[in-house]
Amino acid sequence: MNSKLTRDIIIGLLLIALQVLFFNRMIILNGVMASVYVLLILRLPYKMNTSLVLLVAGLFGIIIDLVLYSGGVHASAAITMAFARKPILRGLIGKEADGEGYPSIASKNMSWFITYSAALIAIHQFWLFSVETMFNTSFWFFISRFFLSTILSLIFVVLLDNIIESPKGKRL
Amino acid sequence: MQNLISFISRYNTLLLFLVLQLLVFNLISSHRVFQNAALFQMSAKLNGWIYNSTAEVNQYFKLKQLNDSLVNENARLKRNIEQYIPGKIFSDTLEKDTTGYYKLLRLIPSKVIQNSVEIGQNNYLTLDKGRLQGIQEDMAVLSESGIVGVINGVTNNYASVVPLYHQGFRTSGRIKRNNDIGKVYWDGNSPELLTMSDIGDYSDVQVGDTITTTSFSSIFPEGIPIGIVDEVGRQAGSNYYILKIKPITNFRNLYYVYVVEDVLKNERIQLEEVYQNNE
Repeated sequence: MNSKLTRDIIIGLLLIALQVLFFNRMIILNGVMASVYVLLILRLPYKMNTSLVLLVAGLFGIIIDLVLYSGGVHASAAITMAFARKPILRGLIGKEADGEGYPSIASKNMSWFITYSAALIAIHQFWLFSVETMFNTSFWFFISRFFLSTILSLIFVVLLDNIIESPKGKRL
Repeated sequence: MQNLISFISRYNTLLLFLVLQLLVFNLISSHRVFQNAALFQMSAKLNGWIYNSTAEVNQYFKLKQLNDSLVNENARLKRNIEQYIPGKIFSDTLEKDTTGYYKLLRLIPSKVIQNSVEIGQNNYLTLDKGRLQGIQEDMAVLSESGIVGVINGVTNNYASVVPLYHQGFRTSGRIKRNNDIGKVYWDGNSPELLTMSDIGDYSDVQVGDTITTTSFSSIFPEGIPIGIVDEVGRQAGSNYYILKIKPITNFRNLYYVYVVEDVLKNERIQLEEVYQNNE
């Protein structure tokens, strides 16, 4: 058990090194790049708590961002991809999504893995380029204010409603 | 209150997701070009460490090109020093420039250890000299033929350069032949071309004209070549030309650059602050 974990960690480090040293330099067609570190997130065990998956994905994303000078877009995309992992797994294989083991070509077949990877990688890349574009235009100014105002209003509306009238009886 | 707590524990993953995204977005917002954002400093250190670990291998593959470019540069420098230095502003003696200030500019040669010219929008260079070797933020970076960019971050032994190929980069440029002045920047699309705007259509600018830096820049010395006009265009309905400039510096083969140190700059700024503050 322990040796398997260390083996996974070593493979994980190698994969990140491969991404950082090789794939980060392989840029074609004015900005097209392969993000192979997502394989690490794809292979996380089924049983792993989603919160933990979110944090781990965020960590991987930050590491890539450090080397690419991109400021956090990969972290954001990885976190989104990690969040979408559970719903997609449930949709693809139902009950097994909470069982033992982890997704890989070996434990299932190639076509299933391609479907699963394509879905999550598409989400990751879409989020990545959206965020990158959003921050480079004034769209970010608009959307950040809209978003934060919505949240702020929501928080206070909920609090106030809770104060005015609790479900257990009138308070005010 | 009970409701709130049970609500939070039911949706804890969604809330964690939102909180994490908020943090990351905050990180991205503060990752601006000319600031000492923490992530940026960490990036610089990490990249320096990675370079050091892989330096032997990388350098070996580039030795022949490096040698060729050094030999060429040596030959040209030996042949014609006067022609390379525009207006004799690089020297060890004080000279007055056109604004009437004494200028003493020194060149700090340094090696480019990371050149990310290809990656999407965020292009940076990393140099192998830093604060301890005299490099500071906002110093100009030149190549053997023209301008390269500006120093935007320094650690003790490494410096980060914002090159021409960066959406945050802007400078003023002058058409050498007829002295028309415009704004030079990168539109993010063409990998080999810069854009120059604000040249009125009364100008007789032609393909092949040289664009140099002006004295309006607080960063670049005057008269350094930026590029050559490659295309003269005009936006429909506008009275201004849009020029495409091919930079003089070949960024794909950039190995050595010079960082310009304005030795008397701090003294001049201090003087102006003390004696000219009330104007």
